[in-house]
Amino acid sequence: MNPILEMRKITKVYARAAAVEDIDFSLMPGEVHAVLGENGAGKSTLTKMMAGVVTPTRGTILLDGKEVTLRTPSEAVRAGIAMVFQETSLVPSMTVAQNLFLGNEKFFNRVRGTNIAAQQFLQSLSFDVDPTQHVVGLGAAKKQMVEIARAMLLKARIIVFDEPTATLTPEEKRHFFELVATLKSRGVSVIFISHALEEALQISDRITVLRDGKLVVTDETVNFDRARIVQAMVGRSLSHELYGTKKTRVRKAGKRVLSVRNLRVGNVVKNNSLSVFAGQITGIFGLVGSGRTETFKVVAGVIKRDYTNGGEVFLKGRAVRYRVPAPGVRDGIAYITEDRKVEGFFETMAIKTNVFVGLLAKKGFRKFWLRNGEIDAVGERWTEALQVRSVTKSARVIELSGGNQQKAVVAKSLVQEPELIIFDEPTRGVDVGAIAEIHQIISRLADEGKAVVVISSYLPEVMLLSDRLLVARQGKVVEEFSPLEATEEKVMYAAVH
Amino acid sequence: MFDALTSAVSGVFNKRSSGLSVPILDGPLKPNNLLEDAPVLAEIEGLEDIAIGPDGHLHAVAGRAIFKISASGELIEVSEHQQAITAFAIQADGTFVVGLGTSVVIDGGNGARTVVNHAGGQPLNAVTAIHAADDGSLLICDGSATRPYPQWSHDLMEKGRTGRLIRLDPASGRTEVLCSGLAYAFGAHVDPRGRVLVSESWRHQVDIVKGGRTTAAIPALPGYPSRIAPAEGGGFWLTFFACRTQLVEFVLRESDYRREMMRTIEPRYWVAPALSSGDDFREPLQAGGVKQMGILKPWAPPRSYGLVVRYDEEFIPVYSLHSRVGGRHHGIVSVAQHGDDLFVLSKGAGRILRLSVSEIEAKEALESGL
Repeated sequence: MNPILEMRKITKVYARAAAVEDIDFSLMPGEVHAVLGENGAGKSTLTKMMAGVVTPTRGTILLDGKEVTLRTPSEAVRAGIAMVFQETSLVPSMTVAQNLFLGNEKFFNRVRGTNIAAQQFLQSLSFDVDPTQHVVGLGAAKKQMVEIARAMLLKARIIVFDEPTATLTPEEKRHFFELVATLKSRGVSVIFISHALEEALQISDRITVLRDGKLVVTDETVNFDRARIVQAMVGRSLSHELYGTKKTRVRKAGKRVLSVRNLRVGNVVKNNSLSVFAGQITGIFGLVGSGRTETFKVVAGVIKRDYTNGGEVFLKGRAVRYRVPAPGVRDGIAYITEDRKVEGFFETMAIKTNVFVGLLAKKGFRKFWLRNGEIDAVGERWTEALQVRSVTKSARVIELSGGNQQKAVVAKSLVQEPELIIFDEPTRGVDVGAIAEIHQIISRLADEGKAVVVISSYLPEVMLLSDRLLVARQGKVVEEFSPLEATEEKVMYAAVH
Repeated sequence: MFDALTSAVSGVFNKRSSGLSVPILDGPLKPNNLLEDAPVLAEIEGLEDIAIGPDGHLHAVAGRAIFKISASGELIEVSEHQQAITAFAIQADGTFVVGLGTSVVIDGGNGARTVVNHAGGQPLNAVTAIHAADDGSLLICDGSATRPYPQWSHDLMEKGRTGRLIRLDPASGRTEVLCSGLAYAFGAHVDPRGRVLVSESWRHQVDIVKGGRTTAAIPALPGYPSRIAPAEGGGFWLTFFACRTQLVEFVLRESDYRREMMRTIEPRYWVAPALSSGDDFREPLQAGGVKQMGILKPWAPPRSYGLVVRYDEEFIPVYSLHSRVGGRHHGIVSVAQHGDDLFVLSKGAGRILRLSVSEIEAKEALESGL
């Protein structure tokens, strides 16, 4: 069988540094091909070249054996290649139906007809999404579903998924895997980028591992196991460093830093109460929609609680009610968002500028007569402290890989020397190497006596990091575990039932 | 700016801007069944306080009598007083110090008795706790200047702020009021660093007393703190005779309702904390406290509760012992540690419980991996 897509000696150079170098890649018809690698390994660049988002510096792309040049995404779509991005590219102010048909509208459009067509299509995929709902109101999981549906609607022969399952609940993931199987049976080829190695092992036919922009290995999935993939990805065995070890001791609680009592936010957070103590990592586990993020966004002043009967928030025993995040930051609260691209940083600014912007929000910091030398020094100190890797010193955040972007967001918050640090999905879209580093940063903060909150949907992570494990369900904390007594089954049971 | 404005306006109308809430039991205060499952050492009607004598024997007061309790739980009556005993302590030389509500009696044996019934020119009214400090002085808590000891719930409903902490020199009988205006002083303690602590039940906090003023050492407690006892190895044990609920906090805010309730309803059926509950269908209930199909929800609001918390020297809770909603060992008002034995007095059940500190800490260590 001939490959449907082939890339030969493909290379992409940014600012004299090669993001991808001399990679040979092939994709068979009806094949599910997983592309794995650490952050900055070149996975996204490689796939973006297939989708016409990035133009290769050298090398050739063959589609059905014929050489093609894909200059824009629309050229790639016409050639049958669609890409579902890690961060959704939907238009938030439009409805689901409008987003599905965006760019393929008929000359005359009937709103009702568009909605019905969208409804039928979504139902055929078993996606429970209301086509009349605006995308801005959808959760991350549903946005992902719309993205996938849009790619399907374009009748793509090759669909590239960049971290498709990062925001999905276990049930939605199962759904997604069924969808991939359906695509495969229809002869559609799927390229699947993921950091969840088990998923790659479960659904792919072949696996390609990249490291530092170079091809390490491509082989049949049956010839891989988790250890071999990790070995190939990082050149060292990380599986035990990450989740293989069982927690053997937990930190003792210090003073109560945060007390949330009977918090209410619309229908999302319902009478939620919890405490966070100094010198401890408080892990919050819950499925998508359990109100974890919203609770801590209220604490940080990102969103507001209900005005009447909205509950109370106490920071070090003092009642607080922030309407904007700035006073929260001044009181020592750092909220590190789950959606770093939208809320985490100014993507076209350099790392150092982003870090300095964080410093500007700190209490007592003068906001005039700023010197470039000062900005450089602060940026350099934090880049070094958190090992943010970039091609050049003045690299913009948008040019960084997911893990390094996350570190930049963390640096932007830590520069404020907060007392309460809330990490919301700290390792989403981050590779295994960077995960270990971010975990170390989180642990170090707790050892320094800070109150740390880690919100995560990934159970092994939250069980490994937490000194207290709170489980949220339907808008409130329903169970508290010591990580030593907790098992995955017990925690999941509390989160679901 | 807006916060300051709303809180100022709220202050005028005696209302708080935000909703009604009480601190939750989580972290080191996470509920367990250690008190509920604890073995019962003795069961006596009218139990009020316990203390350890210099010979290591546990002593308890119940009604008007003082009992010595053997290791097997056998009761030996040591002495009897004319009135019901409301507080009890034993000095380092074995002298009994007894609170009789409106007086404190230092019973030196051989008929030598010192009776104190005034302090700072005012009579004692509700002696709730006595602490024998290492320097030989006694700290006396006078809970309320307006209500006698048995009427503690009246004092709560009247938002009493008339409690006092008094230092008594047993040799001279001289008294000194360390602080006044306390919202029901119900426990005192002098820690090894010389800091004087007093628990204020209605303010839900433990204060440090210095120079006639108080500063909150442990604020925003989830219950009504009562007597304090030293813990071996540092820190102290703090007892709570009941836990706070939103319903009681609400009633305390609604003055008209509260006054009418006090006027028209028998005190034991008030919407107020209790030392025990569940024995009478006429007791006030919150929705979550209603049994459905014979099952009481574990999160039901507690009218009565059993709680003892171990604090370290920095006033940080280390772990806690509970008897939860629907349990029996509620209304904990006193605790005493002797070696590995921890004696806990449940006034609600009229029982003295004996627990092993090493077993509790082993269980705690298992959870924390220490």
